Amino acid sequence: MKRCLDIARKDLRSEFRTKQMLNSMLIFALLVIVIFSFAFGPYPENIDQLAPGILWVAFTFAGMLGLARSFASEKEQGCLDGLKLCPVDRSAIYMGKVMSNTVLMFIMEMITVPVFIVLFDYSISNPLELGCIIMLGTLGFVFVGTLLSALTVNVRAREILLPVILFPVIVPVIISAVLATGKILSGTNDIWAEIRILGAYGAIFFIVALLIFEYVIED
Amino acid sequence: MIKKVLPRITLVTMVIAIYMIFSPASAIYGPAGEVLGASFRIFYFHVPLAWVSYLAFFIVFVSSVSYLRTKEQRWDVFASSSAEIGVIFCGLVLITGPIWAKSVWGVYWLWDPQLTCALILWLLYAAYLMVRSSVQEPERKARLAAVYGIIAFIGVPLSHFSVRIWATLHPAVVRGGQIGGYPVYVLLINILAFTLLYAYLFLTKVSIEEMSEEIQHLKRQV
Amino acid sequence: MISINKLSKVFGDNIALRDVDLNIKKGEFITLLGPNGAGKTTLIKIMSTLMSATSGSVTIDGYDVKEEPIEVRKRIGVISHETYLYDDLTAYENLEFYGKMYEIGELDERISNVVSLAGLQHRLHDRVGTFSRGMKQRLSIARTLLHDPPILFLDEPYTGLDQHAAATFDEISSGFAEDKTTMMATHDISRGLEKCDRLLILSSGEIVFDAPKEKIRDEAHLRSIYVQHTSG
Repeated sequence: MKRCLDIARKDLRSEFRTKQMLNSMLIFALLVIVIFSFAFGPYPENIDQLAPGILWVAFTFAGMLGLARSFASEKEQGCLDGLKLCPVDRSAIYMGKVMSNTVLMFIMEMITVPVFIVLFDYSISNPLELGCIIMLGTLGFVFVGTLLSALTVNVRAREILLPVILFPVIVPVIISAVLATGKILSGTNDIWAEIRILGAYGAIFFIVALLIFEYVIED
Repeated sequence: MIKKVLPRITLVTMVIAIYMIFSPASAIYGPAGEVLGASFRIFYFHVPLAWVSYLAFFIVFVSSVSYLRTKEQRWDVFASSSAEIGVIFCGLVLITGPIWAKSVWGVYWLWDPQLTCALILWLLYAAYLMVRSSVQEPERKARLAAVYGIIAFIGVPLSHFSVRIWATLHPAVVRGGQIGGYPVYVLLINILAFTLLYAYLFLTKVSIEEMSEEIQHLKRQV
Repeated sequence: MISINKLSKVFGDNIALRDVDLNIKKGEFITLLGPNGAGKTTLIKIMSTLMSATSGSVTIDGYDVKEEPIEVRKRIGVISHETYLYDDLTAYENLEFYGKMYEIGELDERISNVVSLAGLQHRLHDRVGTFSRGMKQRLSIARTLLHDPPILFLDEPYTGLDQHAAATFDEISSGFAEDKTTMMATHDISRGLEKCDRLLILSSGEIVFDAPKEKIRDEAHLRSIYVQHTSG
């Protein structure tokens, strides 16, 4: 467990030094929101139906950027081999990467959400629920995304392959998170069904990923 | 033995099944008891196709798990063969579905839960085939594909739940026609016929793969 | 110390290693020569638990690489032509990270030891991205020695180093390699001969030549042996 923290700390330290990934994720997320606003016109009638979708498209697309780099950056000086030579379980590498990816996602989201609220003029009456949904959705996304990021790292055209294989798998996360976010924004709080799906999704994929990860990064 | 008998049984069952679909007795009745148009008979193809795609993807899952456990190449052959057939059958579901939908609801595509799930399945296993085609080295291809074959299938039930919640936001959809009596038998015969067709295609694909493996082996020896 | 038993590795149609048998005694320095694609890197990757074999087994210090990879990893150090270092971290941070991975006690002391061995004390808190190729390779030595492994694998360590950097690398490595069991894969015949106790030539996945250094008269002799065994 402590080894996972060390791996995550190493990733984040290196990331915060350049902020390359974080900046591009942030700007990309903001761009998605702005471009959708342009595409739908300044005052679309059904904004309440569109807004949650826009938010989650921004999260997942920006998250995809981070995930794609997560293992690719380890390839640069052969660091992935160096990491695999360390006397730790493969699952510790997975956990470490999950942690660093989650932190990056959370930071991106903490900046994107206020901008989103201002641009679309929402007042959040129940920030706790919103935070809970964003957290669960992000975790589900990162659990699967980190595994598939490792899967594509040694593959031809990995930049193209990762979105193609990741999006169909995270359909349940996107659907549930968008539905729940929509309900929260419109003031209804009946989001139990979505929370159950997101929770189950996260738990199942986390366990499966831990079991299966060693097959993914074997050479 | 099975390679000789299976195609014949499949052919005979298929002919019987198709004959039954177009027999007058298998007409489908609407909610008010009226006989619905002939286009409704595509339902007899649609449902078995959907069943076979689920079966095929389940076999991909089982083979993938077995491959990771044993690292025996034949499981990988099973998985890839089943996935290819599954994608084709699932594609046919996505073609027959809208044809049916057009005559029931007047539009080709309504985001109804079953069709939406079929679409997600198709995307998942198209992605599975993408994984296979982007890795060259056979051992790694088999291993990564097996991982994705497991991940893809585990997500399916959750996709169903979430799509069902999501679809209730849309105008309620009534599936056309009630079936009972004779049409049920027609449907069952068709499911049997298509399952046999799947088995036949599967065995053929596996033996093609085995032959190409053998050719590679012989090439290596030369 | 290391015993390899009927080891084979197949990549699709391509046989990288074919029934390799090898025993390495404690303290031996082995040079592994062979043309590109002979299987040198594959052999080292399998021995260092990075790759699994198609068949056969490798035992290192009594531990099977497949059954107890973590025990094996604790006992080996790998220096490759890739440095395994993070460009955006400083030398100290890199060593600190690897030190934690190997759970080394009194890490700061250990880091200053290995860094002074590599002659990089003055650059300890600079980012590795600003280092020259030779300095990175020396830091890579420091990284490998951090957990004081009894067994070293060197995979083409001279790739990308100029004459001067290679000489420095030799100087440093001769200092620590004495009491260690070492296997070095290289193209550099003269350096390989100079350092080794025993020479192996690998060609098309098979060990075609295996002799102690005393059997080889000089570099020219080795070159003729090499050509003779690899041209066929």
